[in-house]
Amino acid sequence: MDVRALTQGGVRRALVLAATLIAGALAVFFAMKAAPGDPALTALGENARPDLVAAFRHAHHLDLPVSAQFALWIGGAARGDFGQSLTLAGGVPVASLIATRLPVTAFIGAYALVLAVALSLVIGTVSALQRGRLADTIGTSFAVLGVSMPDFWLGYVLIFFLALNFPVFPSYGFVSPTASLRGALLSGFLPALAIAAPMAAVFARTLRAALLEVLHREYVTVARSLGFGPRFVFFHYVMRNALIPYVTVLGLQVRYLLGGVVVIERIFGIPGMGSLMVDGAFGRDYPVVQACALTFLAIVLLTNLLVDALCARLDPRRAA
Amino acid sequence: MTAAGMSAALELRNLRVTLGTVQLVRGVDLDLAPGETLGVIGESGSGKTLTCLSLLRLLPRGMAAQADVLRLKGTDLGGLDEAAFRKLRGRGIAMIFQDPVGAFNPAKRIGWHMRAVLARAASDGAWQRRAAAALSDVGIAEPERVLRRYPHQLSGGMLQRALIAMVATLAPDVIIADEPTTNLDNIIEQQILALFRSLQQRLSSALVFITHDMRVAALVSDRLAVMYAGQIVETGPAEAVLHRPLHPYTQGLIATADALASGAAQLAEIPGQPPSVLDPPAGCAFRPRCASARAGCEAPQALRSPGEARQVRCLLYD
Repeated sequence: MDVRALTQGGVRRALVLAATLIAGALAVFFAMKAAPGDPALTALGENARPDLVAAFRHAHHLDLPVSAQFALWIGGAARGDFGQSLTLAGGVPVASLIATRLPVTAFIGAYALVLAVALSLVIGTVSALQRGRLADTIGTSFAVLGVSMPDFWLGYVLIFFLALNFPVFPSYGFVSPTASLRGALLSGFLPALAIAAPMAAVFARTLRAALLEVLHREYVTVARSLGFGPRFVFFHYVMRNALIPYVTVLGLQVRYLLGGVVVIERIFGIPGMGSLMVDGAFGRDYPVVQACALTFLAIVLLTNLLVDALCARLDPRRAA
Repeated sequence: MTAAGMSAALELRNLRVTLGTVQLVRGVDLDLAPGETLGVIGESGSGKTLTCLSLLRLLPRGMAAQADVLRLKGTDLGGLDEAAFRKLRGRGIAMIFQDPVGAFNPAKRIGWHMRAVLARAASDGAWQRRAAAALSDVGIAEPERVLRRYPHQLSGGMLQRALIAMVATLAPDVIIADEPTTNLDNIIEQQILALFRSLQQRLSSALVFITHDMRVAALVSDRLAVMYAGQIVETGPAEAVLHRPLHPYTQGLIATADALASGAAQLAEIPGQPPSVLDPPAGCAFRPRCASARAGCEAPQALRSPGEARQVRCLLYD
């Protein structure tokens, strides 16, 4: 409750966050080292001259021991320097690549999250209140469908049925929100929907179950027995308490959101972190893949922190 | 009965509660004068709680209630729609529940609850002061501190006091207390019972006090009604019922309570189990457990009036 306990909790959380980031960096780095393929040969061609290959390796510190490579990389990363791309001509700094790609991915991810939350709030609430009736059957069927559809498949279905019939939703490419917000919302709609639908299904089922559980709690009967109005009881008692498990599940799903972004960006040709990471993986561009993975890890950790804080606010029993 | 009905706080005739084809409450009558306390006694499953929830129209999903007459201070409640009935909840009829810990919104402070009730009571002025005064009236020390607490930070006894304060704020005509002390320890129970008595004097509400505990019923009640298998089997002034129980079931309950109080080695239990609601015996529901059962008990029994203000549903008093 007091400030000192709060600060202690904050310090502990920051330490855990840093430790997780370092462990994640180790895992990412060695996973890339263990992957098959030689970046020098991928960049210069299978029949490159041995002296050029040696020069490439030296330039990118690939001739150093693995532990030294890791030390160089993590030291640079801590200063915001993720090295140079191995594949892009002229060796573009990875940090500047990420700086241009991250806002695009953040936009698509936030767009998908907003869609998933909006859809699930409506479907989950209607299903719970109309339990056992037609609206519930439709909502629950949607949820089962949404959980069973892979996002990449849904992406192609949306292109096939919507983009080809309604030209307002382009099937390929992306307009930056800084250039045109309307263009960004339209061009981002189908990819965001493809990512959002499976998540919305999970959220809606969570909310429906949570609402039904709370509706049977004694405090809801007590509230009604005191003569509180139906809207007051629903929002302040039922929804307010059902939001606690809902927000918890929301936080857990952020990693699936990022997984969805990687796949969907490829399908819709969106120049975000996902496409950058996939291209990097195909080109054995270690610095790019490592930086992308580390960024994704940081996003997941930060959202978890945010969700924890939000849950503590929602549920006084959980507050430190 | 019409003249009495006009002055009665509550009048209920022939309440039936059903779940599909199963009859859970089978024709209950209740009469309450203003300021009177009726103790309703019975085992779990005898229909006490369902009777009360149907008075508030708050039965669980799937259950249906029907009554020939339900009047609150002479006003017929039978024809009211949900919106009109809602306005009566809390102010006309209010209920205190068995589990005070589960009765509060866990996400909100006590002050939030008090404020919501005060808004219903159409009061003006600083709500904090009025809320603190209401908590103080039910014997809560340092009410300002309690207002800032969340429900999980308070004890069951404290929460029950707070719930009683909320109900008292609404000054209802009828208060239903459903085993309000069952989950509390002995000392707190005595304090809460005393609180009910003083509260009732202050508000002159009629009180329905549901309990399975004869000792508690004797402490608070003016009149007693004993329920068994969804029916009232005996009613009368509390003193008379306790000292001269008529129905064999009431006699058994009192013998058990006496044995418990005196710490007798041999517990005077009523043999057998309460009947299943799915398959109630024809006629008197207590017949399979009754030592005085005889020919004629297998027919449905009406209430008889063997003495002044007393009624009993038993063949022995013909």
